[in-house]
Amino acid sequence: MKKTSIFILTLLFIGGLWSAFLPNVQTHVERVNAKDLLNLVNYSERYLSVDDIARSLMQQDQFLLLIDVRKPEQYKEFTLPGAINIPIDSLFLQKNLQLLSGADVYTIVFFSNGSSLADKAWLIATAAGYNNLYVLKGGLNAWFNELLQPKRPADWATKEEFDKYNFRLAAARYFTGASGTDDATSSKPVVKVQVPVKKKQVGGGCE
Amino acid sequence: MGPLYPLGIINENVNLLTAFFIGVLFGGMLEAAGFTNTRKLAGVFYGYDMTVLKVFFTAALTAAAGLFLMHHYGLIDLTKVFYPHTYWLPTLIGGLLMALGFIIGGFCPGTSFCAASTGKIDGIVFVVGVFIGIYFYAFTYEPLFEKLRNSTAMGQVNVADWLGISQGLFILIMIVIAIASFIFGDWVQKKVNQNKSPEDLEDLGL
Repeated sequence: MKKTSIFILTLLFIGGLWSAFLPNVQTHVERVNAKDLLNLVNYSERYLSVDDIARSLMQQDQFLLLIDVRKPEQYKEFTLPGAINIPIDSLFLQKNLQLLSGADVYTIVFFSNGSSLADKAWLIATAAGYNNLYVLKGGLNAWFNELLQPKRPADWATKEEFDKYNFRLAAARYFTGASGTDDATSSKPVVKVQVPVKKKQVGGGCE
Repeated sequence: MGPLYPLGIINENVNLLTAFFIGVLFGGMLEAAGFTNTRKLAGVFYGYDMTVLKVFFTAALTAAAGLFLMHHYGLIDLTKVFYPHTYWLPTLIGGLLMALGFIIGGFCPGTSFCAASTGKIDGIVFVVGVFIGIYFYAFTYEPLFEKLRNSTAMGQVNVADWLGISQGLFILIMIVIAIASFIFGDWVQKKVNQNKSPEDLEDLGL
């Protein structure tokens, strides 16, 4: 080996020896822990039902913030009243992050056609450290199929199921504006069903 | 202090200009070291010339030890330096393909451009091949390669962390391995070349 090679390799070796006594560089990447991720995925408290959302909308809840995570074209075609559009790929734009960090004041609800895209958005945002976010369970499909076209429960169904059915009928009228003539009948069930809301909240607290 | 561009010390134009000058210097050095000669480059695979192994291994480890030491003495913030994700299967396949191209063509992408710029016909042909490959990959990415490209993701992993040893120790171990491989390489080279006439060696660019 040439003298210069030996000199360079000696320098390199000294550098390596020196490095060996220094502490690690703190890795900048926060790795997603598989266990945490699984816990997040299985965290079912993130779901709000179409009834919850409909109720909040009908009560004109100021603190409800609906976020449509679908594409802008789909958003233009149809969306929920008052919803804003943040396509999932622009979730982390600066202005959108500011919105997400308002979750301690607002009830932020992601929704899409089904639940999976909204779930994705929820998972990404939650993994990135934004808490108190929700997902509309079933998405717009559930909105149409369950809320706007409710199925009459069987005659032996419980009172709660009938209350739910009546509420959905009222909600369907409220949101589609159909049969605006019988205003009186449509507003009645709404008021009626507001009672179970309170019940549910109290019940939740006791449990 | 560094990295200069991510910390906003230099703007994008200065960054690109710096890259340009470093590139020119790099090319000049490759040419000066004889790396625009396919025979010298491919020599590492046949055992008659280990220069490529020595140069690139030394360069990588100098960079590793240098960056590591500079980080600890505040000259560069390694946490702000780009850190690639590992996908082991596509990387393995890509590495094998690259080695195959290296053996057949005698260039790696960088040295092929250097050779082309010095007017070597094999270098120019190689560059044309590189572009055909780039376009082929780009236009068939979705149907053919996307699935493979995104498979076997391991995230941003680091061999030292994976082995559970300290990063500095890993650098030292790699340097020891490098020195051992250089000594072994020299021995192989001597063995392979001992029966060659001076004209043969001249022809190989040695």
